[in-house]
Amino acid sequence: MATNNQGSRAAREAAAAARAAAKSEQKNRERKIQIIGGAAVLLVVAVLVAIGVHAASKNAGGVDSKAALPAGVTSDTYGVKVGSAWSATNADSIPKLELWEDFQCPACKNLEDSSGAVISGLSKAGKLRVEYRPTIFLDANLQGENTSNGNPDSSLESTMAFGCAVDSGKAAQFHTIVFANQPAEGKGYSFNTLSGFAQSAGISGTELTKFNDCLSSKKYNGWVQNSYAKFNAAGITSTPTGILNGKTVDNNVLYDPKALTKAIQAATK
Amino acid sequence: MKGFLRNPYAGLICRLSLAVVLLAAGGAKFFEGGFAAQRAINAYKVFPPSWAPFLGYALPGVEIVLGLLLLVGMFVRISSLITAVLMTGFIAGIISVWVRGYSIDCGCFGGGGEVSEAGKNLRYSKEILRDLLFVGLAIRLVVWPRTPFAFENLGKVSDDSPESEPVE
Repeated sequence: MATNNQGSRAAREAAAAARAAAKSEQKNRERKIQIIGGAAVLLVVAVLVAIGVHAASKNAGGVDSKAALPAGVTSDTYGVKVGSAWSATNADSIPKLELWEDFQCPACKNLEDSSGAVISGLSKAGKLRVEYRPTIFLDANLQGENTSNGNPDSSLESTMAFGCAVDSGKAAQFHTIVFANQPAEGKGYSFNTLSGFAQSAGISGTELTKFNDCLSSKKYNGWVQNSYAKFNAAGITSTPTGILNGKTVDNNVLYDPKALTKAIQAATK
Repeated sequence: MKGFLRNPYAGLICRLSLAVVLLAAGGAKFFEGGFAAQRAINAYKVFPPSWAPFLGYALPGVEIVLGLLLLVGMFVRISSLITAVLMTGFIAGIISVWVRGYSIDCGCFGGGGEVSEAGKNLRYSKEILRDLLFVGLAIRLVVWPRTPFAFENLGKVSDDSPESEPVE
């Protein structure tokens, strides 16, 4: 039982020392592997951060400050302001309606079909400052369908065309015609279709040549991207979104011409 | 059942499946480009829009790092724990948009943003069940992190931990 002799005690001690040595070696080994793993993680993180920062700076607010802007468009919003109310002496007291739309968005067409007449009517009468704020987020969603229909990036193309029509002084007309003739979602707009819209909007002769050159040279690509960046920065995720004097209009009101008229009247100071 | 769960090869399958899921989801979002990821995040209306540009890269970036760690088998326990927490957060996000009545694409594997109401409940249910499965896989790995063919095994040749399984 407890009758240990010297020999077995020494053997036990030696074994314990060997175990301790093995254990410490094991610890070292484990630490080494953890350091390698940790270093690899840091490396991967550094690479991802570099890629992220590079990509983010490429569309940093998306803004290309040198982008050409259609007539009357300013870099604070990149929106297209239509109607005489903007230049009225009491412009600040006239309600302002910002409309975020994508030319490929069927719900935007529905809005134009229901409330479009009221909006353009009030705008023409100088009682409403309308600002069209273009976005092109559907290009990503519809990429496959657009491409297979031969009209890739149709939101971008149609919005660039809108910019060209602004230069011809036909912003409101072109806007109305695009939505009135919007094809089934995904079919997209070809160059000829958009050029046809321009003619229907009353652009002809040298103005039409200018429009076609403007569209085929993608003159307003930068402007459209800048407006799209504003859309994202504002955190808006669907279209149409109507903003009356800075407040988002409930869709039940926006789509209802009577309720919308009332809301606009109420917003008139 | 417990024996099956503890089986180191079951653990290997959990680890590699989670790795593939995380790398696919993180990679799709990280390299999507443009504003897609930001829009997906904004659609939840959980964080202020000003956070979206950061989160749009940070969330998928974290997923990629976790996916790589699980793929090679390094820091498995802590990576699985973070994965479980992250996935639980995603589930909470989906439940929150569901409760608030929004209809969005979760943007889990890229895409995202608002979508039509059609099939909304089924879609959310599927997404939540799928994420619950991922949480389950991750918890399995938190409890028994040792799996074959893991890089971290190189530092653990001896079976000093009582729960460790023989590893070839």
